[in-house]
Amino acid sequence: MKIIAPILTFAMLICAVLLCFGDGDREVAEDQEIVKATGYWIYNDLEKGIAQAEKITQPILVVFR
Amino acid sequence: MQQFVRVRIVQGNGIDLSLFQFDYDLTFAVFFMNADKTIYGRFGTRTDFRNAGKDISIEGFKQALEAALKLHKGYPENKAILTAKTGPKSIKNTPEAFPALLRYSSEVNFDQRIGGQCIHCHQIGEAQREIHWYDRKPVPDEVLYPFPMPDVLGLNFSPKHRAKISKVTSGSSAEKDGFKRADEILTLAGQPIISIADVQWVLHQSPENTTLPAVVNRHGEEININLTLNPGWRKNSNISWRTTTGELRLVALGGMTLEDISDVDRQQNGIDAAEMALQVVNISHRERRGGQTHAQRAGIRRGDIITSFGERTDRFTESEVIGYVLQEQAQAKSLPIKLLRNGEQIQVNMSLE
Repeated sequence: MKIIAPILTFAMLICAVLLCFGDGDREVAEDQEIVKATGYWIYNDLEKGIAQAEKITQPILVVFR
Repeated sequence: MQQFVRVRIVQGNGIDLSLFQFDYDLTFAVFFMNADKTIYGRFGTRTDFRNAGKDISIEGFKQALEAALKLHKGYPENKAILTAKTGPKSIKNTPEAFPALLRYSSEVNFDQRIGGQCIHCHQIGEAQREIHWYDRKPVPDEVLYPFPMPDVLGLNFSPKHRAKISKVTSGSSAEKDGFKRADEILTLAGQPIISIADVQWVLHQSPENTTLPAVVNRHGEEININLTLNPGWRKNSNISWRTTTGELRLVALGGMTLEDISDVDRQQNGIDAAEMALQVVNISHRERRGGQTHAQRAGIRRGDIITSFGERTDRFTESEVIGYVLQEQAQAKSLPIKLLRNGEQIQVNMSLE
């Protein structure tokens, strides 16, 4: 599981990158929906991430794509 | 991954440019940080336009994650060695403060049509360059050749590792410095290195003509070596793959895409190995100021072989020609260009205005 999680995340992000090359509002909206639904990522809100990291003393992983 | 708070940013609008300094031509860029915004490291490297994933791997990403966690465990005792991971204050706080991006808002409204609202990362790089060339000032090296790959010094890294040397180019400055294949860089210029992007960050921040102290792991033993940066080292960077170079081709090359021709083609055309021979492989169809590109106006055609550009006749790459025009000829209104077309020598004058 420790190995699978980063692999899946990495693959998901790469897919998202490819998706967004196609661009278009629909793709962005769908991507946003998927990312938010999984709850694995804080979507587009750095301050929320910082506040959470402060609270639980975890490091932050910020991905730009 | 579960040991991190995971944040995904999907737009350039409103980002803090003093904090988030990275290669804006990347399609996938990662920062590992503390909640107080201390940066542990970066991840994300690219050297190819079409294959954006060529220089990264899941194995390298996993190793960077582990190294970032280790740095987090050692925080704040290690804070001092992490300070230089954050760059100097940016000349503009946010992307939309650049003249080229003034039309954008600091936020994207996802309830409205998104197209046209988002600042793409590459636009930040273009905006950083434009403030120089638009005023006809030489574009500084660090802006024109950002986040240099270590191969300009003779060091190649394996994407499957954190920062492990896969090859040292024979005769390079890195070879003379004593770097060996399979060395793993642990620190560079005093900064802990957790990825190839971290090596690029140190190089990005480094001046001309200096040496950078490095600690490498060689067969389990830590060794101190100096990495030499000779004058002009950064200018050997290849910027042709960069999305942002599309704009530079319009500005400096009149819309042309140029490729150094092969040795066989050189022989056939009677061109010496040390001379310029850049074939026009494309001329942009993007109109500039409501008409043809400058190269088209000058009468240059696809397939022509350029043998001199301004005063330069020596063997140049496309990246070097762009640098020559935007740095040494920043004030020039036009430049003479000599070219070969079907064996015939032709001279044209190309406007740069």
